[in-house]
Amino acid sequence: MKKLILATALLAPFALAEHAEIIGNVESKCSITTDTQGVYGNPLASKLSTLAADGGVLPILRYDIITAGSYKAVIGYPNEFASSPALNDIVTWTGSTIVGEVSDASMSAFETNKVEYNNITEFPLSIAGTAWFNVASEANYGYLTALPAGQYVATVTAECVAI
Amino acid sequence: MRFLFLLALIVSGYASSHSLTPTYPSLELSYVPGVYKADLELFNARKDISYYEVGVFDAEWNAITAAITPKKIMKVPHSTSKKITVYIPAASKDRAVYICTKSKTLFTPVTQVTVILSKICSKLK
Repeated sequence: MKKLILATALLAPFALAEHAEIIGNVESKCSITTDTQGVYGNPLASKLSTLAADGGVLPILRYDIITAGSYKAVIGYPNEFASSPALNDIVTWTGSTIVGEVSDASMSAFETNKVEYNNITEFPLSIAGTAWFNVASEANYGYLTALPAGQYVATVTAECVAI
Repeated sequence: MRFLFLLALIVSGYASSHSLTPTYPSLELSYVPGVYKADLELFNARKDISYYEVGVFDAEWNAITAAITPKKIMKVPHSTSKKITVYIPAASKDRAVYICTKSKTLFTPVTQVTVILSKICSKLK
């Protein structure tokens, strides 16, 4: 009994703790999420397109921006196949990247201030929040030449570069 | 409300994404004389990606030789983070600007798809 009282007395200070701290840090960070993996539709024998009107699915990327003005998004639509059957003719690539949904209406500035060159579009991530980017891609083979049957894979590059 | 939104962002970022922290790492002297190091952490929440490559670049995006632990191309399983240490020789210290992680894709038998290559670059202080 004495031992039990002694043990209780020793443990008592720990039981008297009034609060516990939860510590968290919010640090500058950019996260890239694949929201939707794109799929090519094949509306013509010579054409692959991610547009819904062509039976495709647009790739959609989500960028989470914790601190405004720390990063820029650099997004590139495909300009070659990463994997395809043997192709003997020229493939003509076109595409575009636009701002889709945004968590803050002022993020429309991303679209206004974007810079385009080659297949790349750069967006200054000047506002914290979440932004979705839609990437359209189209590949036309030769002059209305039928694409050979097989597997076609193309790569969308999504970069977040600290500035 | 703003805090809640930020919290939601952080949580959502950890749900299905690729991220790299800190944004602005600093170079410190390592235990090897004449070699500097920077510590970063990569988090992989992309289910479709298991491998990432780390690279160091100058302001013109030329690659700079660096030693990377655990490896230059490393396996980062889904929903795990990996601590990365980048070792840069003193001679390249002033040229090094960006440390980047890039997803590596293993092609699976699918037809007519686009795959997303994600790349995040931190900038050295």
